[in-house]
Amino acid sequence: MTSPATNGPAVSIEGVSKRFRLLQDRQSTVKSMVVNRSRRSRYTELWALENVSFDIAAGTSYGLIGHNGSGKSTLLKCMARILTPDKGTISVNGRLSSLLELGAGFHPELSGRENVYLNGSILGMSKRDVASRFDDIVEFASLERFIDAPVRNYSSGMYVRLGFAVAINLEPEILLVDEIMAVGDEAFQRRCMEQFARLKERGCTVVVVSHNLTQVRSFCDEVAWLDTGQLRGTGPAGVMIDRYLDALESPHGAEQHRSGPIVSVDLVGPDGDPLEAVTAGAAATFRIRWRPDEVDGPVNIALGLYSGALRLAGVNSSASGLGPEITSRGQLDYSIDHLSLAPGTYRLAVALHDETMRQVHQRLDPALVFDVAGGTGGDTAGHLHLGGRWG
Amino acid sequence: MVGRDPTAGRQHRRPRAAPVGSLAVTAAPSRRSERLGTELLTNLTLRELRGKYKRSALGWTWSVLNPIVTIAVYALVFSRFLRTEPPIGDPSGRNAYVLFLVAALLPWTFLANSMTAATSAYTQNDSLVTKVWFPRVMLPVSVTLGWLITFVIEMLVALVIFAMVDPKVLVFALALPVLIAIEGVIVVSVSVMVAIANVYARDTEHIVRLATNLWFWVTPVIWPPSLVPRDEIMFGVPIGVIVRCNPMWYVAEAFRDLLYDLRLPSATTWAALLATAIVTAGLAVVVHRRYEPRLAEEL
Repeated sequence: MTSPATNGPAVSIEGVSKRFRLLQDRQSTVKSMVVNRSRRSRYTELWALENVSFDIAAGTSYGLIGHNGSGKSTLLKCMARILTPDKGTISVNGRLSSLLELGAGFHPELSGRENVYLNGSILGMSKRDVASRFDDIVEFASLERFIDAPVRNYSSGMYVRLGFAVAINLEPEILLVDEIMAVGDEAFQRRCMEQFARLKERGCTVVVVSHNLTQVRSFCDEVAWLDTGQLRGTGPAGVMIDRYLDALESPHGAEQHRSGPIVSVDLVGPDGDPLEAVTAGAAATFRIRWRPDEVDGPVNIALGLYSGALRLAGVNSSASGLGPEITSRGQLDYSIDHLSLAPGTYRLAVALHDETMRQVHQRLDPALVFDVAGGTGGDTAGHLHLGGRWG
Repeated sequence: MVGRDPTAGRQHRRPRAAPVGSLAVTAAPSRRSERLGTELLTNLTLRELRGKYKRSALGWTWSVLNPIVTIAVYALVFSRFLRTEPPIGDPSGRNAYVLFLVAALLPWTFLANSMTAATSAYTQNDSLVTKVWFPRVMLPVSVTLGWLITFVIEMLVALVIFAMVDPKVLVFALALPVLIAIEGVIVVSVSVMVAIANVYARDTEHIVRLATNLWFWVTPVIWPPSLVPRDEIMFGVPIGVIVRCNPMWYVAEAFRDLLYDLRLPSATTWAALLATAIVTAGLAVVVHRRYEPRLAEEL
């Protein structure tokens, strides 16, 4: 393991299992531990990963896909050494950097400059490395004017940009990325993708966990598909994603509402009754209900509408300017007067973020798989229901 | 150890058989990783120190003001109101309560501050622990280091005052670095352990606060050790023996020997200090090895 082999695997995962103990009633107090010592039933054990083995070849872009709770983030955290597997080994060959959270460890009272050095050394960069790349980092984050201001005055976008700029400039040999393409504005996301592509050209191995299958398909060479902690298969990205989507859209694949604050995602008609199918061009409402006590405060809900891997639409509740009294009550509707979808089967993905979109409370994909039935418009192909009239 | 670990009664269920989850990472040149470790520790310590007084009008002045006010209050209450007589320095012949107090209060404050602050070293930095890999032990260690630096600065200021009274103290002060190093080992070990304990049981924070308070009063910081009725029996043991089971007894004694009495601490004192340092450090290593890998999931 000591000599970095140029053509050996960058990451080698062998028989990795990870078990979580879920406390029924999470009270880490001495009293509850003493009182409940004999009652072991208060734990439920969950194997987040079970005997997972595969290799990630050096220089490839590797995607980990699977629905919520499939263990892909756990696996990524095991690779990043944040979690220790209960069984099995993970060998990492090369300098590893992870983008699991941008700007983790920033101290709000310190300036951007001080935080760059701090964050750099947390990520394993020497002071000299940071100093020589400092200008690039600041430029990439476009924070030249604010770099000496305390980070507490930064907007969430600035915060994330700075965190990303530091991590990406570490010039890792292996980069682990967890859903960061979900943050920042369009321009920033594009720059992230460019940066990933540049790293890839340089021979960097990139391991990505993402729900955005379109991005995974275009960016990744290979994909591992995880399902409730077990490896369903590995292979070329396109092939694996198609297999995954086929499984999703079959009725058994649509596993719903795993642990998390979201209670239900329903398609309801104008009268509030649940709909099995909706007619093209008719009114439809997506109703999302969650447990407000689990998220603590107002939320932002993002909906993504898909057909296969194709993203048809994406909407975001924070753009609508709703007050916190609406976004913290535990139910939000997205009502459409004329559903402009051609007949077919569609998939709705839901993400529940906190208000600032920095933290993802839960992501469900698929949250809902529904059929659109043909109306009188004579739709025969495509995804759009144009709603026009003949005559 | 305070907090009980929830897995403690269940360890027989743990898969003991090899291979237990392990990670092999390309061994970077060790000198480089050593340097990186030092830099990380430096940066985290700076974060501690800089963050502590940011946004306060007096800033760093607080680190000087705090001990001065504490010393003034204790001196007033104990020396003036309660008429506590400090023991005569032997052989220095010194007889000043403030000097007697300062010699032991500064090392005590170092322990108390570091322990209380380190308790939340992991819990407060949960986003760091659960999202990035780095030598996490640096978090409580940097807290201790921050307080150690404060302590050393305070000590230097105090030394100027001691030297103005009697310059001979400077000779004995040569032994201070050794003593501070030994206390540092004890403090950092305790800090690492309470930080981990607090992840598993949040009560640790309250227990530490309470224990620090009790500990303070059973340690001869503000009262002279001669006040202990040596031969009186408590729980079937002479009180003089019970109070000497407290490692901080020897810390206070050793600092006072050097600064107040102007003599070298006795061999017993050195032995007690060294033994405490070795035992606490050993315990800290064991606790760290056993519980550190699961920190991210317990947070």
